[in-house]
Amino acid sequence: MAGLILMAVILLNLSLLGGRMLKGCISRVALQGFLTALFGIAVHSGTMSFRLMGLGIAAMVVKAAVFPWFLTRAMRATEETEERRPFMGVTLSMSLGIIMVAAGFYLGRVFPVGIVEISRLALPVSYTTILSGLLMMIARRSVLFQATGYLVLENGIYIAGITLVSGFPFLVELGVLLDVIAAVLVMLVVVMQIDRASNGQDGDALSELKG
Amino acid sequence: MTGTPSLLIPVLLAVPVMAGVLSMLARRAGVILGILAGGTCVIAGIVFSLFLMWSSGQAPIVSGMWFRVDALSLLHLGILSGVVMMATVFSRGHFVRELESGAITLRDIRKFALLWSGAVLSMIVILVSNNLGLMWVGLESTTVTTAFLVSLHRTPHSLEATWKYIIVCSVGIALAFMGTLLMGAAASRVPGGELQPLMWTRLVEVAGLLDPSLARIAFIFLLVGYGTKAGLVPMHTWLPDAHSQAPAPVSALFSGFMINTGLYCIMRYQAIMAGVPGGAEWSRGLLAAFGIVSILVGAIFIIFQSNLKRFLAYCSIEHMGIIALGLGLGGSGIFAALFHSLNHSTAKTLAFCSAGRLGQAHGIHDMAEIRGTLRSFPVWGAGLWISLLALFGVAPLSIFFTEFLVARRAMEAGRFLVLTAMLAGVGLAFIGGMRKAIPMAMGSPVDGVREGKTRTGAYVVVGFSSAILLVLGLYLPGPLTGLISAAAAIVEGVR
Repeated sequence: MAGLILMAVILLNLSLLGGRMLKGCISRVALQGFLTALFGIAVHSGTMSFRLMGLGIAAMVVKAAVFPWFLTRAMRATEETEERRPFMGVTLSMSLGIIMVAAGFYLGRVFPVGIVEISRLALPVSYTTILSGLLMMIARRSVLFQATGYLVLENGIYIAGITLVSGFPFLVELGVLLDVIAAVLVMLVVVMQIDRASNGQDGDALSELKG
Repeated sequence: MTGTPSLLIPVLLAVPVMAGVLSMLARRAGVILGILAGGTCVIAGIVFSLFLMWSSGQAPIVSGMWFRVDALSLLHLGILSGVVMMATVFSRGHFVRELESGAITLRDIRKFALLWSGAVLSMIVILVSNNLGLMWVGLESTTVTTAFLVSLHRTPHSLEATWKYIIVCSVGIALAFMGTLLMGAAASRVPGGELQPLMWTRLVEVAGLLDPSLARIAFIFLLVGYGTKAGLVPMHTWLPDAHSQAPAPVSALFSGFMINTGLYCIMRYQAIMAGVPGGAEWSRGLLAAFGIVSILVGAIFIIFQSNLKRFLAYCSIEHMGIIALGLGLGGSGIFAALFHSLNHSTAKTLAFCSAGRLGQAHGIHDMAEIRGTLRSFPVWGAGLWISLLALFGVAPLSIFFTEFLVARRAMEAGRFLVLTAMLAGVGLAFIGGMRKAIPMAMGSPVDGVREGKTRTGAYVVVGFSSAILLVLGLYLPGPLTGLISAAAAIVEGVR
């Protein structure tokens, strides 16, 4: 089960890197968020406590519903629906995405550090997802796609968190969750403000400050 | 856990919350900003009491398992309260003028007060946390709370700066979280460690038992992640934009203290790495490398700047590099780095406040258009001149002294290449900086731009900071030396 979820996460990384329509990318990142949260619940199902279950469900709601809803609202407000002129074309991004998969598995072999014996795939997939998120943020001109890339990066770190540490204090986990929500919210509000100020939140409008 | 229990820490955390709530109830700009200044004075008072408690027993002050104030936190709390005090006093005059000219509204000032209190609270959380996870939460919150402070004046440029700031720092912070996870994983492998894997005191105790390779990977993530917030090259790209676009009091807070919080987090981990087998030398080497690159890149960009606030921002990058280099050299270099933090924060707060007032009066931040300020603006002109002299390392101001200490440490350690690179960077910055600073201070004043009535706050900010810069350059009081040495011992891992 865990292995299947992780494979799906990798496939979603590639399809996100190849996506040009914002709406499709939002649904894919929502699905990926749902799967990563499900992964968290699935691997702890043997030792499930009330606290872990609650956090898992909270993460699922945030990743699969709250973030996509924010993104959709920002998309409607800015009327940005597709990436017209990415810095990197689809073919190049997807090829690099495949290299990221290789790099992720390589890193997973060099640093075999997972403590919870869940799935040997978990860390390589986490590294791959973090790298793909970063790649997506670099490759796209549209700021909404950059924000989507940040969510992919967050999903990768979530997988690592589940794999590496099983006993984070509750307060810390809650704080992390709230902070991430706040960060994404701030990003999207800034997106809308940029749109209002420049009529079109193309990253091109964002290249005046130099040096 | 040993330490003196005290309720002062929760009270310290409550003050910015109270100040934020109270300022929301006030209806006049002067009152709102007055409440912020009052809150800052209370914070400074509490920090001073904590210092007295600490110096009477030389033991950390704790509150439960989660909060702990030791010499390192105390030194930074002291710097924080000084910087926030100067910046809030300055903000009163600055924003009241902007309100009169219609550049901002009362609503903006309320927003400022709320976010400012939030930012101060987050920074206090970073400094008093014993839990590394909570420390991370505090640092992430500084980004979230200060993002809208950058775009208080909602212009396309300030929004661009805000976007860069939030996206670059969020990625940095995400990487730091990965590092925190890896460090937590290393700790939970130590027998008995799974109970409290993120308690800093616990990690320092068991550092010798941590898996060295895991701790190293964690440190790389942490250095890059927290280094982003600290503005170390090449993760600095957000810094010049955010500093130049933010209103002057916000830039003062950013450069005066917020970027130091990034380095503070790195220092906490450096203390852990000091106990990891082979970790001390290795982590210092990395810090020194980032430091040197930051000094050189900062210095080169200083030469080519025309905007006063960007110029100061690159100067911050250079100084963060000097602090990182000091930390990387170890030994007396750590003392120098911590002392340099104090001096740089004082000078940079003064510089940004002066630049803010002068830019506001001239209506432009282009350095070619700001001339002869010593004559036209006796107080703020002097503030800018003194702070720039200090920042570019002119004796006998205190930054000269700490730069000298860092250089001496490099020589003692036989790191001549590092020494050469540092001196080249500092020299370049001096030449580039003075070429801009002298006309701004001494040239012929711009027609029609003069200070009308100097506010009392101006005398307070300029007088207080200049006095610190001058006195600390000539004489280091015993209690301060004791505090900095104790803080340096913590970073170096001496137990």
